[in-house]
Amino acid sequence: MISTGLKPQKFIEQLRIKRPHSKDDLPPWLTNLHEEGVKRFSDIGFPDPKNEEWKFTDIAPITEKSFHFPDEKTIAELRSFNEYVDRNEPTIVFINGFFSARYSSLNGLEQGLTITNLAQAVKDQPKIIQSLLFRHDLKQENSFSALNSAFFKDGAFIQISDNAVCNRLIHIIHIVSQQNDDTVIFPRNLIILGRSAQAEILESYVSFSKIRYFTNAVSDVFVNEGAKLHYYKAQGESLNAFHLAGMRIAQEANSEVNTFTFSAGAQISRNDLSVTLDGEGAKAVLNGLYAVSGNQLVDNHTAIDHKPPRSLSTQLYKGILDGNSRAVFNGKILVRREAQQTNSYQLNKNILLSPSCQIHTKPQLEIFADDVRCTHGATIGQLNDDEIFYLQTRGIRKDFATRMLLCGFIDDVTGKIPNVSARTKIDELLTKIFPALKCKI
Amino acid sequence: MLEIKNLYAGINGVSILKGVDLTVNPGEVHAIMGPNGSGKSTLAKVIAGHPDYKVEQGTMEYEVNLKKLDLAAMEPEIRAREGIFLAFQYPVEIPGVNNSVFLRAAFNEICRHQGAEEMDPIEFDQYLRQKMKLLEMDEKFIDRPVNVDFSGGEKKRNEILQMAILAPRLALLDETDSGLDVDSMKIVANGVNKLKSKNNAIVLITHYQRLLNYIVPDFVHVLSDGKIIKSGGKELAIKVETQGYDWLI
Ligand SMILES: Nc1ncnc2c1ncn2[C@@H]1O[C@H](COP(=O)(O)OP(=O)(O)O)[C@@H](O)[C@H]1O
Ligand SMILES: [Mg+2]
Repeated sequence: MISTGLKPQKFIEQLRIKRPHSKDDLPPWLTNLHEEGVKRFSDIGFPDPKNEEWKFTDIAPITEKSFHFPDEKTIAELRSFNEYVDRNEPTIVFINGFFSARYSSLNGLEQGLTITNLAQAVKDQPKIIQSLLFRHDLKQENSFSALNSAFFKDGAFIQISDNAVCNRLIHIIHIVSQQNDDTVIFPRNLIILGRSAQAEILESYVSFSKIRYFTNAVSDVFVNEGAKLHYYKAQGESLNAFHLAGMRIAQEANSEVNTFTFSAGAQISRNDLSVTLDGEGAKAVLNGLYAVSGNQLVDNHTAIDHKPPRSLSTQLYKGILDGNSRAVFNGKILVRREAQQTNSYQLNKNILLSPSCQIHTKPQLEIFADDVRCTHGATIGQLNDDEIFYLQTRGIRKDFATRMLLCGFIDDVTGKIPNVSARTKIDELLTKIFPALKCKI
Repeated sequence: MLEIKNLYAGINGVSILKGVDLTVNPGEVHAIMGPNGSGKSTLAKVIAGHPDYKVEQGTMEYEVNLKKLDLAAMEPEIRAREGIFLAFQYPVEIPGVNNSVFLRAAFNEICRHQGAEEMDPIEFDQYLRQKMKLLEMDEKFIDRPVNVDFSGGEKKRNEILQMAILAPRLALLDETDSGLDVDSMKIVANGVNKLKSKNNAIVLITHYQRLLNYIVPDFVHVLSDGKIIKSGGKELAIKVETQGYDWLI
């Protein structure tokens, strides 16, 4: 049941009292931005249970808690962490929300590539950061983006200058480690690709622990004309954590963005991924995979805004659900009147492994142009007994057959992660959290 | 090798096999014919261990290396590892599962069970290519997902390829010839004949006498309404083909 009577004021007051740094540390425009966030959040509060956008995602377990800011800055599960990162790749690490120079690898970066923590970037390049942070209308933000605006302190700032090409995977890691339950982090990442720049970025949210905490993240991505970006997001949070994240991508003409949104961790997780195709010929390819079990809930909301003529978006999200888990997929596609000759495809496929899991999948098409091609589809199925039997008659054990079929099911979507390093990392998180997908033979 | 006695089996509470007796010895080729719906595929699936079919009565004894095994008590994969192979009438498509990866996994499972040496991917690739040549299969099938977008004939050929790879002791071929043109049928029959030895046995389920010109059976059985109503030699197949089943029923 979705509970009512959520009190944003109380929630926010508790956090404000414990706010870690005084206002004096920050430039006035940033303090102002935080205040705007507070105001916006206070105005709209938590999503109302009647809110269509949150119909299937009960956030009461989050809103009923009182969260505090973490103070530990060390990684207790160093072994798992070291296995996960690749020190030869540009890596920026945040431990419990705090930037860690020690665990980051930021030397010898490619020409034209800047990676710093946002708090530092605010000091180094205030003008640029200010303009980027104010690009989104704060008065239009949804609840959890506003909450993030109110409280974020740090995150990654990545800038790839015009024509620069970064061949190595850039890795942003937000790790939560060693602390009491009920801490909250507000990562804010800012990524900007100059004209015709190219990069591949992995944004990881991990914890190698069982602690309960709340990650409220926002990533803003600006992709200029002709730029090409692969953006992978790997959510492998603690199974007791809450993860509510917004990603907002703005694309100029002829740019190409490929996202891969992977979710396997957290008790409740939600990705609000919105893409604005703001220039002719812009192309967005959104892929995703979620694998949940137990009492997990995973919610993927995508929203694509086709503004100019001749833009393209395609989406393929696949999900595997087990136990009593639930998943939500809502794919909104807006094709504005000027956006003639838009192509848009959307497909969501799910396998339910137990009778008590649930999937709510819904396309949401708002088309105002007449010359467009939009297709969408969704499937919900179970493992096919005849396929399992077929494999068994070839000497393959039933549980192994099941794994082969599940791996076969996700094969086409994981195949859309061209970067081997990113794929390996995602596979590592996936098989750790969801062992039924351990299918390396 | 296989001794089936008074076998009753059904699905969803409906009996389909109603007292089948069948004995197959090493080195023999048996053909099972019979009208549509008489229970031929059911018999093959029951021998292979399809979980939807319940054995209601009777026994299936499988003898291999002087061990007598009660088939009904064995999981399908154990039956397979003991050398039982079913070429399906309707092979399923398995999206996302690579043909050669699948075949090697199956091959190695069976090797492990039988105490034989497993193959690494490179060895297996050579072995696979050699068997594909035998069946005149294009190499493009190596890395395609199992049966996905294969034509009817290609699926059947892929079944026999699997038989060639897994080298079963008892092969059940369920209408492997239907959907094949004459040339493909010759290739498949030739492949099957090459796998025939005095140590293994083949049970062919077919509608047509045609195949039996290429794979010559020692015994022909007619199955009707879940029972073998007549057994004989090759001439029985010819008689059935020309006169149909009515004279038998
Ligand atoms: N899943 C099923 N549920 C109920 N009846 C079935 C099922 N599968 C097959 N049958 C019935 O069993 C009988 C035998 O089928 P089958 O063994 O496929 O025949 P054959 O292979 O000889 O053509 C048919 O009457 C068919 O309708
Ligand atoms: Mg049949």
